[in-house]
Amino acid sequence: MTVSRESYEVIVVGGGHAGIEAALAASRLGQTTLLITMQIAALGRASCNPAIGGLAKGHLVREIDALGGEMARATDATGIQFKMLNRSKGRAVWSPRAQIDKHAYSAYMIAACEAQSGLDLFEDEAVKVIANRTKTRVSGVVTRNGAHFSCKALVLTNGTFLNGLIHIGDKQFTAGRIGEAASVGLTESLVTLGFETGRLKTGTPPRVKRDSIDFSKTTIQTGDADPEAFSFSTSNFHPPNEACYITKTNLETHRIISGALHFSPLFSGVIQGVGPRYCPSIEDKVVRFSDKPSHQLFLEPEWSNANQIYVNGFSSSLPEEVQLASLRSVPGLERVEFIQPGYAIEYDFFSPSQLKASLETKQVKGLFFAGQINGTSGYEEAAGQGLLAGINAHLQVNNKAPFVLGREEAYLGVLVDDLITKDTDEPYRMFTSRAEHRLLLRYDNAHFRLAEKGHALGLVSTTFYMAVVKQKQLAKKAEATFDTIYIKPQKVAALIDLQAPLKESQSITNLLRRPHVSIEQLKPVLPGWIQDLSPTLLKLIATNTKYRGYIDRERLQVERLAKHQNTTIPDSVDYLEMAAISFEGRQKLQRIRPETIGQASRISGVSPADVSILLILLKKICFT
Amino acid sequence: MLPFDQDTIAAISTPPGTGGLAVIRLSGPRSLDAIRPLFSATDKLEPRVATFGKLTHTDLGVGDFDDCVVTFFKGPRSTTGEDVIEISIHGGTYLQQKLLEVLLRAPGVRAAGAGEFTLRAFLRGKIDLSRAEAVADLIHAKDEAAHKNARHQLSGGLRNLVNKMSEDLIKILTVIEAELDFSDQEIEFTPPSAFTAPLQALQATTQSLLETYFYGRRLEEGFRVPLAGAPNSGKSSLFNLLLGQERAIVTAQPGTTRDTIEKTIIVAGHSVVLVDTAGLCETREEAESSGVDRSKDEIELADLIIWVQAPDTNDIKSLKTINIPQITVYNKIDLTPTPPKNKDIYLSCLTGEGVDTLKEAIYSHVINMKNTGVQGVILNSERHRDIFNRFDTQLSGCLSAINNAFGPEYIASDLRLALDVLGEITGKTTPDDILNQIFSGFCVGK
Ligand SMILES: Nc1nc2c(ncn2[C@@H]2O[C@H](COP(=O)(O)OP(=O)(O)OP(=O)(O)O)[C@@H](O)[C@H]2O)c(=O)[nH]1
Ligand SMILES: [Mg+2]
Repeated sequence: MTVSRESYEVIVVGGGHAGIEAALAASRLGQTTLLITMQIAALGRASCNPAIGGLAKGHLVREIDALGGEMARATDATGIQFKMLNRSKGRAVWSPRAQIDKHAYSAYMIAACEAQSGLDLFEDEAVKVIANRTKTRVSGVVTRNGAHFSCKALVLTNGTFLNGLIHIGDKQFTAGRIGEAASVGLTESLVTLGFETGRLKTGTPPRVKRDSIDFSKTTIQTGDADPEAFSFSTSNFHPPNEACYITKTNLETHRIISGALHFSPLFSGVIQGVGPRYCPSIEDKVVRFSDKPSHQLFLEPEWSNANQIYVNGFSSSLPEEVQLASLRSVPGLERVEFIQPGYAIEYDFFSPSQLKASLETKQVKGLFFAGQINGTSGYEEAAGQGLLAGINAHLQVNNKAPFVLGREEAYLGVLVDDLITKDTDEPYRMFTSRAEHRLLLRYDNAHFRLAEKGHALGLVSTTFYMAVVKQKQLAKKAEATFDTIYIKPQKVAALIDLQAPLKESQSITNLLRRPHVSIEQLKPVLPGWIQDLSPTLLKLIATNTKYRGYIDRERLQVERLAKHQNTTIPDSVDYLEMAAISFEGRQKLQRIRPETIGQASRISGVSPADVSILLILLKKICFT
Repeated sequence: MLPFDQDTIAAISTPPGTGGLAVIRLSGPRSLDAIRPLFSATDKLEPRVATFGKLTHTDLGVGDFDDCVVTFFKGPRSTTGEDVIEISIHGGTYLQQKLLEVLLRAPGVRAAGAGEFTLRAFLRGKIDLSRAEAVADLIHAKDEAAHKNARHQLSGGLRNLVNKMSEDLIKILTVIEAELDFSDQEIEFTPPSAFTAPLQALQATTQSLLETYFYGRRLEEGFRVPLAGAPNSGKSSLFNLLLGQERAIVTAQPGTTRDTIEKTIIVAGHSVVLVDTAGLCETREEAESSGVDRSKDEIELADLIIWVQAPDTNDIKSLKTINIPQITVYNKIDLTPTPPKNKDIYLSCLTGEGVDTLKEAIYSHVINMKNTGVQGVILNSERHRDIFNRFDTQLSGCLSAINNAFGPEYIASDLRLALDVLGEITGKTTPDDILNQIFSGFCVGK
């Protein structure tokens, strides 16, 4: 244990994806930081699937990287298969995904935390949050073994550990993750401070032995031959490309599952918590989509050359015998053996409507929540919140204004805004469809969007930032040049296979806007200096050009709605007195207590007329 | 109404039905841009100075707005604190509507919501604080009225119709979004061309709906039916007869009626505005000539023209009336045993003969003009019409994205904008609405 003091500026509880980013950010920003975790060896452990990124989640990882977080670098260093999703579609919706070596990933994160100056690690369980007498200011934390640390800011990232309860069939036992103890006491301590808590549920599939699988009956799936790294700082990227395998359930599998539903705690009513619809258990899929004759299963190695295989798509809380019997009806899995059965886990969360956009709680100053404790799911969502909470803990300690990203600036902005304005009734996961400005928020331009902010905060190096500034200038110049270079019809015909020949010369911009024309095809007619740009930058420039009309339109919408968005609402407002606002609107506003007019307008049940009246009444309050 | 957008808003700011002089007001950053292509003296505009000029546009009749006055108030020194343009025009409700329609087609301009000018004025600190509550009440009241109207419309079905249209759009968007967000899973690929037919169907509905607006306005304002013809043909006599009261002056002197007189009667449950006009003839006298101009305006704007001829007057052939239904009445048949052939109706105001036949003819014309609407829905508010016009444009955007083989992310962007426009009637469609559809329709999730 490397504890050097009893008092820290920032304390982070929990060593998962959120906790790590929070602790690294706070210490990198110069705060004396303590990370309290129940098991240092479990830092950065991936509780569920051995993968990082994916649709919309890949965007989050790139944004974390552009702001100086660790997740992207760790993924590049420990990934064993990289794949760009949605490749057949436009670049705005491409998203990187990687299979990771779980052991290597965790080891990478342990090393990163241990090497970080200003960051101490402490192995124990936090059981109590200490606040001042009025319960308005955090002052420290107490652990199971009686250690007492004081702090200026406390970030809680407890994941699924708070009163975690695992279900396998009718068996139940308390645990934070299989094989790891739950965290007991902290929820109660927070309830005493006045927080509202609820219960959520999630699940994980069985882990099976590789040598019990007949892969000849499955379809092999490998990563991209030309993989793209997650981190902007990764160079010389030559990761392994280990295979995953695909197989399918069948009617026999479904018959066995249907026959045993009464054993499932999900269906018998034992589990009260709400599970995510985008990550249903196999029993859910069989019941809700009974007309589907089969469901895909992905067999993913948990680490390099692992004998342990993750059966993606078969999350279950049925009794172990039923899981095994039904899996054995699947081609290739006839003789499959379990290392660990699938299970469901219920845990406490705290409705994020109790948070400000900085992830600080509205009630207790200096107390921050990040990750699954806020009712989210996913490593990437957790890491993103952790990073933001770490940054804001630092800003708060230094009495600086919080760091808040707009919905038009980053998926991270969408994430936090959704959390604090919506009532989560199931674990929240990011989707690209949640971002109304999807075409602005691309995976390939995360650094263009965020490096400047990361640099201003002090998390991104000046070298990187200057490189981004240079790239931006080049991109702007190249895009302008595309407007001015016209290519004659014959020349175009030689480069591109067009259905109907062109009648007149076309600018590079107009050619690129055609759906199937790529920048590579046009390369011969580009000026030398543009040809010489890095392929990544060139593709980004081409993407900007392709979407330009749509991007301009989205920008216009952002500007159109910008007015009043950031008008702040004083803490003292009593919505219940505002009779002119609809009854439902008043109730919602009173409960959620938005910080800005923009947030108020996004609360469901608050109508535009309500917002207009609110604006009027606020002006009145501010002047009198 | 979006309380924080930067749109330029427009509305007729004089109360409806006052006739004569009307003021149309624009407020917002694009006010000046909106009027520039229409107004002949835009370059002469100076803040706070009333400027005379002409308003011209292909959709406005020649000479409709020859003598309008435009005043430009540069923000923040204006009632709303934004750039404001006030256009004062002569002309009845119909012409005012026409001009507003043309203005609403300018980019970034939309119809003002309830209390919106006042709201903007307040938010810019232009209205005294003591009025804050009054504004709140106004918005509240209007919202309530809109609400009542919406409930009322339930039977008429505007809300149902729009809900159905949104559902159709959401269905398409759901398929596209599912493909974008869950492409790594087993979701059947639907080629975007499959969406062309449902989108075209939506556009057809939208266009039919827009066509009902003409009738919708008539329902509110009444059908305009002028009695026109040569001086002394008996227009005023017939007018009085149809009204059943001696409203217009009748003399044996040609040129008795110098200005238009209008009076509303109810025919087949519809308001019909009968308009007695000055007899058409070449004249040098100023008062009479302006009366004749008025008559011409009425004829051009008519929903149904009743031409009155008589044995002792000349026939009048008027221009620009090809597309307007008309009835030719041959009056004073008591004076001639052999009236000319091919007239629609023969009557005598003196004896009353044939008047019932004319009434029946008017009745069947009104019934003919009746529009059953789209599933019973008839548009009558400018705001709704503005919304459907923009919706129509957005649908064209979606269709052209599909036609040009643009990717699903482009189509999704167009569809979302279309949904946002409809949302101004039904309430916004949120990403959660779409995700809910995806989760209930597709087996997603590993
Ligand atoms: N004999 C006869 N005289 C009629 C009839 N209808 C109208 N008159 C007479 O025709 C003259 C003109 O009638 P008005 O109704 O004033 O005609 P007008 O078309 O309104 O005339 P201006 O307003 O001057 O254009 C009056 O003397 C009426 O009494 C009719 O059916 N038979
Ligand atoms: Mg007359």
